[in-house]
This record gives sequence, C-alpha cells and structure tokens, in this order.
Amino acid sequence: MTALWSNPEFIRNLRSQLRPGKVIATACICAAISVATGFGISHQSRAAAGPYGWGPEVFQVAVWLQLLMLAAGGGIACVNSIHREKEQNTFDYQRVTRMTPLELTLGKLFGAPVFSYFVCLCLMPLAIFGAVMGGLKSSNLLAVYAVMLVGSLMIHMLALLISLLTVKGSHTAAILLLLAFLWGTSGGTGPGPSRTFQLGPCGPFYAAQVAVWQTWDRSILTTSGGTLEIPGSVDVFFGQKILHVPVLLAIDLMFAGWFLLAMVRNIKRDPNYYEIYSPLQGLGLAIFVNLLFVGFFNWGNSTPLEAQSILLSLNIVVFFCFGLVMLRNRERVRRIIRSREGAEIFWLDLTWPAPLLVAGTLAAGLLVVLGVAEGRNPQVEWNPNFAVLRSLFFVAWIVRDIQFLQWMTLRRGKHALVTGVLFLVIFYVCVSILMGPLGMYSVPERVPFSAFFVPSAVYLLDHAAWEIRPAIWSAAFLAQWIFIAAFIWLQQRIIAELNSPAQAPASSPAPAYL
Amino acid sequence: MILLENVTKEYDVPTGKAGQLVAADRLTLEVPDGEVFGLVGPNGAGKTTTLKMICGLMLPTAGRITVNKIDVERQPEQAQQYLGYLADFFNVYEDLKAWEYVEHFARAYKLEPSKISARVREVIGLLGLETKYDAMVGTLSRGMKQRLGIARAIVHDPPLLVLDEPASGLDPKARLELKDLIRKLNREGKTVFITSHVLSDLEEICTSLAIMEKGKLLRVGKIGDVMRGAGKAKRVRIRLAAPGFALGGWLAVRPGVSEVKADSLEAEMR
Repeated sequence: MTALWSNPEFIRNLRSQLRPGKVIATACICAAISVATGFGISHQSRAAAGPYGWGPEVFQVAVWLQLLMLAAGGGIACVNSIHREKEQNTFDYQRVTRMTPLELTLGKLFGAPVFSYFVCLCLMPLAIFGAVMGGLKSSNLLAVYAVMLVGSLMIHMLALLISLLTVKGSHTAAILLLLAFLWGTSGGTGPGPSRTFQLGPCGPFYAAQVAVWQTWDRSILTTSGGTLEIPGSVDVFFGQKILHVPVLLAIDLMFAGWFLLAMVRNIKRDPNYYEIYSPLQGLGLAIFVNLLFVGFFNWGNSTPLEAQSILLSLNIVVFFCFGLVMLRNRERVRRIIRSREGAEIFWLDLTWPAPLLVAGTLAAGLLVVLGVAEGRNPQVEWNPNFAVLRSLFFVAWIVRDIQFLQWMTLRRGKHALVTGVLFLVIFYVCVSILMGPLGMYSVPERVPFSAFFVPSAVYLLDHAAWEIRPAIWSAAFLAQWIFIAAFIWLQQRIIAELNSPAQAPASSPAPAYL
Repeated sequence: MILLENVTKEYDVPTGKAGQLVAADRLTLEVPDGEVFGLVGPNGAGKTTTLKMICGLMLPTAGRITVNKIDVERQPEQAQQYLGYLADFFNVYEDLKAWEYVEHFARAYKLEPSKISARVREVIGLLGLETKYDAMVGTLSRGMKQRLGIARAIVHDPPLLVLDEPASGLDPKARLELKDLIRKLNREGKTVFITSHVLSDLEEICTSLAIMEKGKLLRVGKIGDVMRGAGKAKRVRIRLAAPGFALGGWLAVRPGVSEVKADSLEAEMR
C-alpha cells in the first residue's frame, strides 16, 4: 500500500491543481480577503462587542468560508473527478495500471479536492486570529476542525461514489444530489426534547454551530436532568446520553467507510457490471442504519403506533435504496446465464431480488417491532400482533415495487430503470390523487381498499380498523404477493429470452461497444 | 502470451429492437510470445471489444482470456502489469507536463522510485519528444500526443503491447515512424497486438494476422498464408452508368463469382 504522499493519483492532482502561479495567486487573494474581513468585523462590531469581543465573529466567518470551500467546493470537485475522466477517455488508463482499487480511491479522495484543502489552509490565519482574539478554548477549536474534516471526508467519499456511478449526461443531477445530501445532513431534527431523533446534525456544517458555542447566550440553554445544556450538543443512544461531537465523528467515519467499500469494489470494474455492494454487505448497511434509527429514536415523543409508522417510513427509503442497488441489468443476467453453460439457472437468479429483500425487510421490520416493544411507554396500550402485521405489509410493498423495477430494468430500452421509476412515481401520484375523492383516506369502511395500492392506511392499522373489514385487509395483503409473483413471472420470461441462442441481425448497425 | 478461449461478447441491439448484437462470437485465438499480431476488420467488426477484453477493461459474456497464463478476469491487476495499452480514441492529461504525464504512469505501474526519473527520460527520448520534455501536454500536436500515449504504454517495459488503431489520425511520416518503432520494440522481444481497419497498415509489420468480421474470425495465421488466402477472393463493386440492365442476374451466372449483392444501379461481387 503506497503512502498518500507517494500515491501517483494524489501527486498528479497536486501537480495539476497547485502550480506555483496558481498557489501564489490563491494565497494572495485569501490574504486580502482575510485582512478585509478581519478589519471590517473588528471595526463594525466594536460598538456591540460582547464579553468575547469581535474575535468569535471573525472566527465564525472564517469557518463558514472554509466549510463552503471544503465541504461544498471539495464535494463538487470529487463529483467532477471520475465523471470527467470517463468523458475524456482517460479513466481506462488508470484502470489498467498496477494501482490497487484502494490506492486509486484514496488518491482521488484526497487529490480531487486538494485545491479546496489548500484554500482552507490559506484561511487558517484568519481563523486562528479570530480564535485567539475571542479567547476560544483549544478543545473547542479542535472540535470545530475535527467535525469539518471528518464531515467533509464523508461528503467527498459519497461524491466520489456518485461520480463513479454517474452516466453521461447526468452530471448536473449528480451535483444537485450531492448538494441535497449536504443540506440534509446540515440541519438537525430540531432542538429540545420534542425531537423525533435524539441526534444532532451529522454533516460538516455542524462545525459552524460548534464555533458559535463560545459566545452562547445563556438564555438559549435548556435544562435537562437538572443541568444546563446547549441544544443539540447531547445525543441519546439507547437511553444513554453522549456528547454529540464524538457521535458525529463516529457516524461520519462509519458512513465514509461504507462509501469507501463501495468505491473499492467498483472503481476498477467494467461499468456494465457495477455492483455497489454484495447482497450481504447491502443487508449489513440496511441493518446498521436501522440500528441508528432505533437507537436514537425519541420513544417518549410518540405513541407506539406513531413510532412504528415513522420508523417503517424511513425504512421504505432505506430499502428502496437497497433494492435499487441490488437490481441486475441485462448485461449481468446475460453473463450469469452464459456462465452456467447450458445448465439450469439457479432459482435465486430467477427470482432476484425478492428472496433477499424479503429477508432484509423482515429483519428490519422485526427490529423496529422489538425497538417499539423495548422503548415504548409501558402505560400506553399496544398490540404486538398488529405491529408484526404492519411490518409484514411493509415487507410486501417494498418487494412488490422493487420486483417491478427489476422487471423493468431487464426490459429492452436505453434507460429502462429510469422509465420504471417514472412509472412508479406516476402510479403513486395518480392513485394518491384518486383516493381522496373516493373517500379512501377518510371513510373508515373504505380505508382498507387503499391498502391494495399504497401503504399509508396500514401504518395506522389497529384492532378497531381491522374489525371493520378484515376480509379486505387480508385480500390486500394477499394481493401484494400476487403482484410480486406476477412480476417474477414477467422477469423469468425475459431471462428465458436472454437464454435463447444469440442471433446476430442480418445487417449489423454501428456498434455501441466503444 | 495471449490466449482467448471461446470468448463471446453480446449486447442488445442499440436501437432497442429485438435481437442481440454479437461483438465477439466464440473467439479462440492464441498469440505466441514475440509475435506482431495484427487484427484487421471493418468498422464494427469487434476489434476494439476484443482488445478491451484482453486488457481487462471489459468482461466477456462467456469464455476465458489469459495474458501470460494469468486469468484476466480473476487476477486483472496481475495480468495488467504485463501489458501496455493504447486506445483508439484516447485523451491525455492536458494540465500536466510531458514528463509529469509519463512519470505519473511510471509511478502507477510501480516502477522502482529510484529508477523512475531515468526511465522517463529514456522513454521520452525513444519517442522523439525530448524537445517537449517540459511542455504542457495541452500544447502538443495530435501526433505528439499519440507518441506520448505510446510512451505511457511502454514506460513500465511490458512484454506485451496492445495498440488499438495506433496509426489513426497520423500523417504519412508519423505512420512510417510508428511502424519503425513497432519493429524496434518487437526486436527487443516485445509481443505486439495491434488492430486496424486498414490492411496495408499491418501488412508490413505483422508476423501474424487475423481477419475479423461481425464478431467472427474469418482467417488466422501467419501473414503470408493469410494474405495468400485473402488474395484468392476479391470484392469488386460495379456501378452502371444508366439503369435498365439486370446486372445482378448477369453477374450471378458468370464463372468465378461466388457472391453477388445488387440493386438497380450497383452490384458488389466476390
């Protein structure tokens, strides 16, 4: 394993992005900005100086500039890196070298945003100046930069993965996706005991909040267990209070590790055969995320029914992503068939990914039920049988939709998966609109009929709702499995078509294999 | 050096219609050490696909490929250390200097650090780029970039060179220089696997040749044998000055004509 300073990819980026002229120009610009900022704030704030003076404000401005440059700017640089190399036909040359996938990935991880790191370094004098003048504690300073660096590392790792998986023409969408993720990890779930999750923001922009602590206004402190607390600075994990900064660092490092695993698995692969995670790894990630959900959930804030609804809703997102990751395209299926050399195709390949999804969603659903059972208020009434039934419905819906997408992905067409997702979205939108006038949200006797199409009614399924129309609820549940069987049958027809001997058309068109 | 065993690559027809496109159809081929092996065929024959599969850039749908007895699919990095690759449509890092570009790949191929600098100078000199040593790659001409690409492919002194249409876009002088270079590298013991759609590009330098069309190998063998076999059948295109003559029918009954494709004004016969 090559050290980072000897990593060829890192050195290449260093040389191309930090030419002497560019370095000097950047340093001068940063120096000018720093001087102007420091002077401007010190003179502007003098009249309203608090106990710490204008120093903390200078420090916060410097931190914000560094965050924008490193987290956002560095993230965009990472999104551009592999995508641009593929467009310029230089990526294949990296794939045939002796660099291991890990070396290539780390070289790009630290090399692509190297200019952003340099700009952050150039702004450090301003930040240190503000910290010193504001009397910032060294532990606080360390916390700010630990959050900034680790959080940015996670964002960059994700950006690199997005860059690897992005197809031509979707570059803008990739950048928007990254910025959306950055924005999503920047906000918390709200301060105080009314939060759904007792977990603060987990993105790099939390560093800006840490930078504010020095100047806190005592009126915003909250009382928790008899002690004063800064809102969002303490998390609760399975009932244990933990400072948020170490939790953030641990979570960000773990997610960075998951993204790194995906990168190392795929960076040197034939793009037609990308497999983000192996099935077991994907399941592992889904269970890991569920452990976080269940561990940080604020049980005291919700009834058992609401808690399960929230957690199952989140799991729809998790397992939808998992399902998308597990989908196999025609190339992969074709290769699996050819590798059998005429032998019977394995049942798992014929029904993929249904068995895996059933196992994963069932495990997650039962984990949620267990979490509700352990975390709920014992005074509140709760029926575990209906909790299990709700989880089983959740299993059926996820498998139904993903099996539909698997069938769509195997159909011929340039963007088969995109078409499938579009159809699914249109289906849900149309059904949701139609159900309103038909009273399927509001009339208790009609609510069970909605369970044939969308999961919303089942989230609040309890004994009373069941008793109104037990046959319809049962039929709706059975219908999901019939849909799943139908999509598997359609999928098997396509696999049979792929299994037939290949016939070159009479006049071959210009090939697309360059 | 290279062994292909029943290698197949299939795709969907790009237009979305039914049917599958077979870019490589059960190819079985062996390239011994020390050969300059040419793969010739028209555009769309499957040459680039075959080449990419040899380099491990593309997985075959079925079959097995070994380079220096190493399975390319199972141990791609071990196999790739034995080959240097030049693509037909390629690009270079324009924001690096020429020596930085070659050095990057010298490091990427894990040459001994103490020997990198000397090797980079040697390779740049071999390709006639000494005057452009410190020049930005973006300022080089097409031919110089091509030579730089070859420098990159040979910097780690691989025993096998895989070149995809290396002469495309080069002027006649540059083509001659390229041929001399390939001969020189072959004399040094390198095996060269080279593709082209122009037979004359390969005739002078190859020791063995394969003709490929629509994913199939039509002829394989020593250059002399293949050329003699190919010379037996010629393809001739005839265009009528005016319509009204049943050209296709007239040609079909002529002795020595084995195949006719005709419409009202043109006919192609073999």
